[in-house]
Amino acid sequence: MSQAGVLALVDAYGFDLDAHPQVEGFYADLMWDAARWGVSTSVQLLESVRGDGEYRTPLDEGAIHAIFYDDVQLSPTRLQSLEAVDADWRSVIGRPNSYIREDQNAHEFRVYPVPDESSVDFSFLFGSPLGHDFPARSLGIVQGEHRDDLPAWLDVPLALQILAREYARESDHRDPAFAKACKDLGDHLLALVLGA
Amino acid sequence: VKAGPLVDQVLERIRDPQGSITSRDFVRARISDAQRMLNAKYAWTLDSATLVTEPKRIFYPLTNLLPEASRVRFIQQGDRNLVMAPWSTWFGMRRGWQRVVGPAFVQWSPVGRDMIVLWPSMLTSESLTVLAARLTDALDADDDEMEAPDDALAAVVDLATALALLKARDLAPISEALAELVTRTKALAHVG
Repeated sequence: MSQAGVLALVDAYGFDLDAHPQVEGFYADLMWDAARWGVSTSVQLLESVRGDGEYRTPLDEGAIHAIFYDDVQLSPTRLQSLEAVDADWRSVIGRPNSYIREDQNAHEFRVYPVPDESSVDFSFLFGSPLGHDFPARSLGIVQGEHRDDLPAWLDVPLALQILAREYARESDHRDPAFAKACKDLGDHLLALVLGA
Repeated sequence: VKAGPLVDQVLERIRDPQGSITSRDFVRARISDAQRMLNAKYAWTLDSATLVTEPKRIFYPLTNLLPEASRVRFIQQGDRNLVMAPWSTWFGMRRGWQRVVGPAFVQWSPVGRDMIVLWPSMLTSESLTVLAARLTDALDADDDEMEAPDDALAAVVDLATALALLKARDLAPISEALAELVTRTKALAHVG
């Protein structure tokens, strides 16, 4: 795992970490970026409640890749489409088939129609919440996940991104040309290792 | 091929053949990094692990199974390979795809880099073999063997050269090295 590896690499490029401990803050920022890059993902379960259409994702991070309700994958839909079909769409009750995020706070979503039944209790007798024990009528959310450490094959691109940010900021060691070179090479390597 | 001659090659390219400004250890470490990144992309050397599935379950994190693997390439049930198909398209096939139960796994897809999804689910627990790009070993000495195939070593040297130029703050040739690397890595798709 890579935080030590990344910071050792920053150090190897001649940057004095002891004198500039704020560099660790750049590493923390990159971990949030990585949650958006789709490096780490997870599936989370969420109880649905009869009559309640609004939910908050279990994790406050990462992009939502898919939402399931019971045995169907919900379609992402647009406010305009729902308004066009039924101005009172928020009060329609039934079995959810789609979700909307447009008029919601960050990490919140609304399912349509509003569930007409609550999910069964979350009790996992077989210890397999995503298998045998998947609770009927619950929501399953596939989303990006924040990690504090990433695998070692990302060490170099991450270290270059940190160097780029450190040397681009206003300071007594600011070096825009070096920062740009680090950024260009770091971006290329990220695209290389994360690309299809 | 051993790491030593490649270290010499990089030092020659950055016009520091004695390693007086950029040490041999630094260059060898960057060759090691370059090999790891390129293997993460092209998966020349693979790791395998056995995934024991659970009845009716389709999503499986790989964080504990293959913690340093970068790219799953193949999943096998017995001697049969499952078909890789992006899971974003399965929704169009059948809306309730995740609850379909079948006699054998047919498709798989990566979900991000550390999770896979299998389809359809099965009612029994099965053992699958997961093959993924492995994290190549660190090159600690000039005598260590390279793991990248011979026809990919030029790309490893190109990438290590760009990283060594950066260390020497020799910025002008970096864009040239980067352009060379882009061309070389495009051609690498056929290596392996």
